[in-house]
Amino acid sequence: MSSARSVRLAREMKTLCSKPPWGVTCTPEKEDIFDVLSVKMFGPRGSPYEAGLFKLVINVPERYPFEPPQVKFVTPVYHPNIDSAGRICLNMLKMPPKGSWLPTITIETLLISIQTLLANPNPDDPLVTQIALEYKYDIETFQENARNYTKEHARHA
Amino acid sequence: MNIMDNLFNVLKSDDFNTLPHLMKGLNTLFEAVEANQSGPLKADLLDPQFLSELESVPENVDISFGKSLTDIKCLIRDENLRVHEVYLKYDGIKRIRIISVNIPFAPFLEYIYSTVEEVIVAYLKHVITLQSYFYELENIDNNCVVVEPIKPTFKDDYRNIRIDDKTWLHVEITPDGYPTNIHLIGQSETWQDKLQAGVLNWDHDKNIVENVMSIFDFDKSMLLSKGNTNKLDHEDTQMDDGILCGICFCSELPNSPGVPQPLCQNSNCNVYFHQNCLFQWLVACEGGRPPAFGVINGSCPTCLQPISCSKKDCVI
Repeated sequence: MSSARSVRLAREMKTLCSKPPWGVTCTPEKEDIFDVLSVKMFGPRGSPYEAGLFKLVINVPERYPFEPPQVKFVTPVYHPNIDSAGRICLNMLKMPPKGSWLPTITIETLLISIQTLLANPNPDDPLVTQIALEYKYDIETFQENARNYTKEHARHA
Repeated sequence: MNIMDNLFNVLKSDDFNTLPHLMKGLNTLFEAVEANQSGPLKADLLDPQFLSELESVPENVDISFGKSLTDIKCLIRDENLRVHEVYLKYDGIKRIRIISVNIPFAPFLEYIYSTVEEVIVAYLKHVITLQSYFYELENIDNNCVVVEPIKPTFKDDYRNIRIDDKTWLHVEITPDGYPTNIHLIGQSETWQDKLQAGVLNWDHDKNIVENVMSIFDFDKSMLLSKGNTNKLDHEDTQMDDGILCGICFCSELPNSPGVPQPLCQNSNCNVYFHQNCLFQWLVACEGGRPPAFGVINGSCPTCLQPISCSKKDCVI
């Protein structure tokens, strides 16, 4: 089983490195060991996170792809579905029946989904209620706050 | 056996109770053994006479050694500058055998030759009688699409020529350069009718390619047109990569038996899985509990339609 995992991971990393999706770079923390991956992600254009460069870390479990990878933001993010510890509330990151992780999902798909989540918060399934309410009822304040927070924490040179 | 018995006698005997005595005893024993073994030495090495002979071969012959110094490869050029490979084995002084040649008809294979020169002369003499055989084969290879053999050589005395996508023409060629056993491979009534009528009117003054062209009303370009063979090649390269499993993204796994299969019953879902991978996933969905009766139900990881998978052939 672990061989299936390493072969699949090696394949995924190869495509991720050769054809990375827009604004995403993913590299293994230690070369050729794909247990811990570090990700740099640009905020989606047209969103309050546009100017930011966000760091994430992916822990690939031993039973991957039969278990979802654990993804966390290292850079603080002001977002209804991302809490102060960087945890992400995304269905795709949880096992069924609660979540919607599937072994056919790749790390690339996952990262694109997270990028999409940045631009399109889901206030109906919030992790940080206060930000969710702000997003729902006072979107302009939310955008202002998110933009300032990004400037403060996710600035890239 | 004898030596072992002697050795045991020496080791057990009370006469050799001190080290110098024992060494002496062993020494005499091994001397006797050595004397026994010095039988006729095998002539594995080349004799200098043979080597000098190899150096003096005619200019139209290239000689190289194979695995050992007694395996010799000769590249012989005949009058028409066709290159022939002849493999020789040096069995001893004045004993040279032909191991293999690149022509199918070789009546002289069993003879034993005393010099390489003799081999070359005999070979060239034989090859001269095969000139029309070579000519016909070359002509076919140059003017037709040969489907089989994949890499045609003079050793293959037949050619399967592509007529259309589904039909090949099989032709065998005799040492005299005449076609025999001409038949179609694949079902095609129109080509079959044409062939039957055409064989009766075979023109022996023309070569095989010309005859084939007139039988099937082909011109040169039609015989050379590969049609859909390019497409076939393309499909072949895809097959090399194999069908990938939608879960592990591999075609074959060392610890997962079988190849990916279309396990999903949904006919619109064209994703293949290893039975093992799918089973592992469905078990993981159930919280890691394997099914009671060996068959697990769940939903396809691609199309989310109901899917079931049996434990049979699975290693977990």
